[in-house]
Amino acid sequence: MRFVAGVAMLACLAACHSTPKQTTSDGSDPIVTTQASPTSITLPAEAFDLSWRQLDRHLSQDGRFEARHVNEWVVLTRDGEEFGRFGTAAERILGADFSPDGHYLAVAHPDTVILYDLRTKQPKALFTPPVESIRFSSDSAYLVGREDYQQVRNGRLVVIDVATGKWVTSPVPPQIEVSNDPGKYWYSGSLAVFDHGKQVVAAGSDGFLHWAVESQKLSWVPCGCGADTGAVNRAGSLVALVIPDNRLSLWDVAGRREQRVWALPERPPLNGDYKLRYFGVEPHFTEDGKWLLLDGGEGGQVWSIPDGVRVQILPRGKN
Amino acid sequence: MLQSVSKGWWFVVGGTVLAVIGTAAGIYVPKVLDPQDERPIAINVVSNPATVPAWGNDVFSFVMPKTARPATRPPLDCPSIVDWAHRNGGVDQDATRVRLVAQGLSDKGVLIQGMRARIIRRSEHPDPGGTSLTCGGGQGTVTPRQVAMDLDEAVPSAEYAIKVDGRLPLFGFTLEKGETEVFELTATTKGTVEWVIDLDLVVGGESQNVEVTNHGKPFRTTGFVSPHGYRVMAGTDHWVECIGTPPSCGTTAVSPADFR
Repeated sequence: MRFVAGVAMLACLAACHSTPKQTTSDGSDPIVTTQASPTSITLPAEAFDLSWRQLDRHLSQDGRFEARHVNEWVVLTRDGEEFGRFGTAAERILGADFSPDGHYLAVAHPDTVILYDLRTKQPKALFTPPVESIRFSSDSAYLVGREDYQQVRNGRLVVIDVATGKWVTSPVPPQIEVSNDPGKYWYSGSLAVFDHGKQVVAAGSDGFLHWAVESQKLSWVPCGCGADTGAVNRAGSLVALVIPDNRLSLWDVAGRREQRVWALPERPPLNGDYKLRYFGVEPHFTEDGKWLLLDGGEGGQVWSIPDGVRVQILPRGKN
Repeated sequence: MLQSVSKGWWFVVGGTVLAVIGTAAGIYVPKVLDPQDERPIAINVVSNPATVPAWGNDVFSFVMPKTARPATRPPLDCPSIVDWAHRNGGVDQDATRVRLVAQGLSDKGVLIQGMRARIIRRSEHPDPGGTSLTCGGGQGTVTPRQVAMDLDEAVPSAEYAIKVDGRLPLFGFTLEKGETEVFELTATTKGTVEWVIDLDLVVGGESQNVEVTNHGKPFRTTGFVSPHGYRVMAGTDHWVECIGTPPSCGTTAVSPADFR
């Protein structure tokens, strides 16, 4: 009787057990190229005018001032009127940034960093080591830069206290070889200083470098993704990495974790090379940190952060 | 007594029949109700790595069967050599590189849970083969290998070739209808393996498995290194003869004698 009951139970189990559905493919299916998935965000072109212009011009965050270098630095108002000017001993420009509070313009040259006070119209040389890619912290209290790449490939990072003019330099970073271009050293053109000047992030190809200023500890955080370019937001919380074969990888700096990866739309390849479609395309966070601009061709792309939704830009005058 | 035994046997036979019917019903009824050809994803396999940009600068080698008597001579450009070798029974030497493009077809979305190799035949030591043919290799930008699979594992599964802390897992994402995902898989072995790809999916809460073949045939990979072969060096348009392991190649243009 027990035996019969056992068989009956087995029968039930066999009948009720759900095996995964099996199908086969010989790998010959056509892949239909459809239009990019519909976006849920639509904004007027004017919404990003200032952000786009900030990519290739030295503009203050509110767009009130623009700095131009023609033999000397000239600061212009929005209307194009001259606001002030100051000279420099060196012609070559290594970087420039307006402070988020609107008080300063910092310019970097091979001999020094100059802080121009927009309230008093007075420039002040800080006599720091030559640094490039300078950027203010969100609270405008600190500046960060890295040693001139043309002089030293694995240049040190430098944090400058704006109030005192004192600076601190990082240990010499490790020599990092770019994964998709063997023999080339890692480069970062996007830096952020945050946490009251205690932390710095430098984003570039393949990942980002974190510097804990007080403990002088440098940590390399690789993405393992073959990214060609990278950027960190001013708050130092997010790093965006552009992978040449159509992907964008967003990393959470504090957790050192990849937060999201999304596919970028097809675009014509650089020099006809299919694998380099997004090679050289740099990401840029907007100042409010809510959007990511992808520079390069046809007006570029705008993505929401951190969810990675493509923003559809309405033609001008249609808002 | 006899009647009692006979009654017991009837229960056994009846139970067994019931079990068989139940099993068959469990397997076949859902298939009848839900036809098999409604796959939740479309899959396209590119098994000629010389045509895939990610591997454009790699070296591709094939071990030809000892008995190979091809009707035509091997061509000189690398993508054509790869196709010619495969067509004439050549086995991928050291690694098989497959570009697999998956596109979601289901309105419910398709969760891709994993990719494994199902081994059809495996020999721990590589099967001896004939002459090798090699092409490719060059200078230029290198795309890091994204996805790797060790065919010598008990259950080979695809994973990132470069393991990095903090990185999102390779699988566990959903393909919405029309969305595509590209996997550039490099599978390696020290023996000789015939295999197909198994994709583990979940659609509408139900597990599914898609077996992907190399256009109806298994993928074939071997670790055998032939002591004799021919190679078209990158940037050249002629074959040279290679002898020994590791191979040492000459510079004089030759016609691959084995395939005349």
